[in-house]
Amino acid sequence: MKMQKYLWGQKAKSLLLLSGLILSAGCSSIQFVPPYDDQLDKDVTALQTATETFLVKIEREGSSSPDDYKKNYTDFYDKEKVAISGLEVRAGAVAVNDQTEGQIKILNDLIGKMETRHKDSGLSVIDATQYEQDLNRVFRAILTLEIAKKSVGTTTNSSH
Amino acid sequence: MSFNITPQMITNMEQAAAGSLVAGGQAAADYASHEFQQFAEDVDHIQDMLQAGTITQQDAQYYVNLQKSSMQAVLLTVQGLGMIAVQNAINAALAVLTTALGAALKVAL
Repeated sequence: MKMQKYLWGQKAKSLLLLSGLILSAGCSSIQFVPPYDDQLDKDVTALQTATETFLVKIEREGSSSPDDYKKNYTDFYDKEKVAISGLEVRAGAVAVNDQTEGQIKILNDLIGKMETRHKDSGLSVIDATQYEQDLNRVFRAILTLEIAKKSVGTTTNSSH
Repeated sequence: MSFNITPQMITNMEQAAAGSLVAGGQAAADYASHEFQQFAEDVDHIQDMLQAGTITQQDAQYYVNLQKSSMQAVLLTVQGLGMIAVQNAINAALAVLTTALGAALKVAL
């Protein structure tokens, strides 16, 4: 009788262990980084194009004064802010997306600094060139990480 | 039905994980190397402009601060690439285990 109880106990333990293994193996993937988001990729690429177009124009024109900022460029900065806000919301809506969220904050900070400089003292060609280097570095960083996420999986749903 | 974790299975898990780690680590190293090189050149150019009197000390500091901000985004990418490599390595090893367990149970997991 004791032996039978012992054997049943052993069987129960084995079943429990097997169930645990099946559960852990069946749900067999962990996630530190979210899947690739094609909409974020497209939105960041579109924002890079708009920003680059603006900076190339400033470089070609030689400079842009605070007056020029008021007359011609407040709309550009408004559009940039709206686009970045959209990126922030989209990146923040995804779990374990800390790196991308951090990068978008840096992008927002740089665009904000560029606007402040443009408004207060204008943008010189050197300013525009420096911002071009820095902003493109950030855009490249965001896109490099996003494209690398393709090895994790793909999210194709669009929020736009 | 029996399920044993054999030395061969452990070797397969190790190989699967190592492949993902090496590929991911290489991608992170290549990216970081390119960006650090570019950063060094950009800061060097700021130094040249300062020495030539093209920009003021204040401007130079301002531009270097911008460079430092943008490099934080690079570091976040390097961190992310590392995490993707580790994640893919662990998942590759788990996939070997899942396949072996599925074969032992004769079910797809």
